[in-house]
Amino acid sequence: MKGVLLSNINMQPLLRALRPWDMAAGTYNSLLADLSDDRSAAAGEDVTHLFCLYDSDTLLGDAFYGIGRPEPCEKFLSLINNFCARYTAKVVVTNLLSISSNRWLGCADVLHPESLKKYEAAFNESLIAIAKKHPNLLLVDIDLLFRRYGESALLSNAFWYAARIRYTARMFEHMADMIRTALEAHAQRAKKVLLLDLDDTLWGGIVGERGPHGIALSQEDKGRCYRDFQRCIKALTRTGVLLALVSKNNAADVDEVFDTNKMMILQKEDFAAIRINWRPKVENIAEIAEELNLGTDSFVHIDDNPVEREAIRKFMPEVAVPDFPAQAENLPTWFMQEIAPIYFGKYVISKEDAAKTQQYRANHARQQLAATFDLDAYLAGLGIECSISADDGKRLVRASQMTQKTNQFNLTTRRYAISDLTRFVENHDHAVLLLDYRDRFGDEGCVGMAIVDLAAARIDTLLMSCRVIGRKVEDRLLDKAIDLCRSRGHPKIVGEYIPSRKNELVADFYEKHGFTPITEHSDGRIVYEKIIDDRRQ
Amino acid sequence: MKRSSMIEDNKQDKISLVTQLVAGRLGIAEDELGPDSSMDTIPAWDSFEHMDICLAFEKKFGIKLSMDNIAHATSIRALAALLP
Repeated sequence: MKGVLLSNINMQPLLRALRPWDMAAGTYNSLLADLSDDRSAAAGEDVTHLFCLYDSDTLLGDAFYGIGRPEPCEKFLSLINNFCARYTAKVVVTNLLSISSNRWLGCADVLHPESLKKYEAAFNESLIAIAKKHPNLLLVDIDLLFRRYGESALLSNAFWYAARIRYTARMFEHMADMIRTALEAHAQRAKKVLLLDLDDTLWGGIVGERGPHGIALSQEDKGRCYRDFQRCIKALTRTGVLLALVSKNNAADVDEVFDTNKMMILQKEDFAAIRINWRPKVENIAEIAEELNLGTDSFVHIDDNPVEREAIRKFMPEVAVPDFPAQAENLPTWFMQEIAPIYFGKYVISKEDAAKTQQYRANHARQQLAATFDLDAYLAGLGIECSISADDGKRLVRASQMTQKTNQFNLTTRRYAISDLTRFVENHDHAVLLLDYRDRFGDEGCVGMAIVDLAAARIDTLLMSCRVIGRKVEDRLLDKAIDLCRSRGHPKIVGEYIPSRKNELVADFYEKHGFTPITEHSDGRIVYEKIIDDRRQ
Repeated sequence: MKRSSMIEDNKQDKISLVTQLVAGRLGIAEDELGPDSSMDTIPAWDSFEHMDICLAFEKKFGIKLSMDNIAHATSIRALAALLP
């Protein structure tokens, strides 16, 4: 790009704040003259961007003090209109009128016929009408900066009278940021998808612990922060941004929140894709990208958990992963100031934008009808590599830890101390099998284990970490157990399922794998067996 | 430590803080500047750069300069004297 900056005040410091852009300044205070001169720097053929950033009080001239009509303002409107019409290939950036709070009319500025407030509104309405005619005109609302940071921090009397510099260093930096953001928005480089976590992100607390009505989400207090945060996100969908949920949770818990918690602002229909499971988030994000047919470089992920954020930054550096505010009360402001305009800024919002989520949901439904999801192809694409080793006593700490901590994918939920496992290994009557997992997204380490009673051909323990559930790696562990028993000459193998409050997930595991139930005990424990002797099958 | 030498050290700190800032804005090495460097002795420090230095000074130290400050604090020593 090559830019020229025109103004009615000394804006040299802004050129420095806009580095490394290739920018030149027109002659000092030449705004109106340069706009009307075909031979001015602004009209140069190689100039791609013209910045007309004027000071409002100064543009009003004497009218700012109640003397005469604001003629320069009228002139500016007609000149900018002509320039945009004539140089349609140039992007023209200008600010809306934003008159300082020093009003000669004081509190009469509201009703008086010469009210500056009223004049400001009328001027801006004309400028907006011009922008609607000329898509190459980009308006920036610098009034928002004065509201946000305050006039006294942004305007400088001393620099004004010393050197015709109206603003402080802070203002120049904020202006530069605002201009960059606006140009990005105008160039339609906005991100398309907002990925969201749930616990401590869309509501306070963890739904798995506090239940669908125990989470912080309410009309008042802390829950209100999350409700307003959800409102901000809902508003974003009207600008054409797609939402997707990526959360490590039990899908049933989350469904219950959507179905029964009346405090939820966001509904399931607001999301173009939903992944509630225990798999690594990068896998879910890759799947969502495929489902929506959008590149992950157009994704932004919001998550309160720094570990999850780091993992996504590491494995999917193209996904934008902003830090998360420490205090819930700052969520709405943070989102409105640092997320929505920065990542999802749009200069013009179309009718199609407003209906985008519905569009994508419909597309997805069609795709699902057309082809049922091919799990095997997906798994093949992951490039899974597993290795299973019978532990010789070196990794029993991890093995014991897994028996202590694993709840969901755990057939018998037998908890073992290190000493128990040491005894198994030393007596050679049990095999402790450890499964190590890696795929193209990374190395998960030891994620599964089995304890096989070799004398009785019985699977004492079979468990998998939540992180790899759904990828069929458990089959390999089972195959290994079967191999061990078969090589010892056993004709069949025994498996057990002991129901717990959390292991419903694997209630039908053995049946799915060709085992037959033999005994069902009164406490719910089921013993299965399977013929493994090849000749007898 | 004697009181007088503590005051001396504090002055030294202010001088080096301002030297750092001026060198950064002018894009020259700190060792090219001394406490008595000024608009008169450093060619790059012209009236335009002086405004830039003053704007950056306000922001860095959170001080609002007066017109008189801008007009007269045209050396490292004079700028340092404006620091509390």
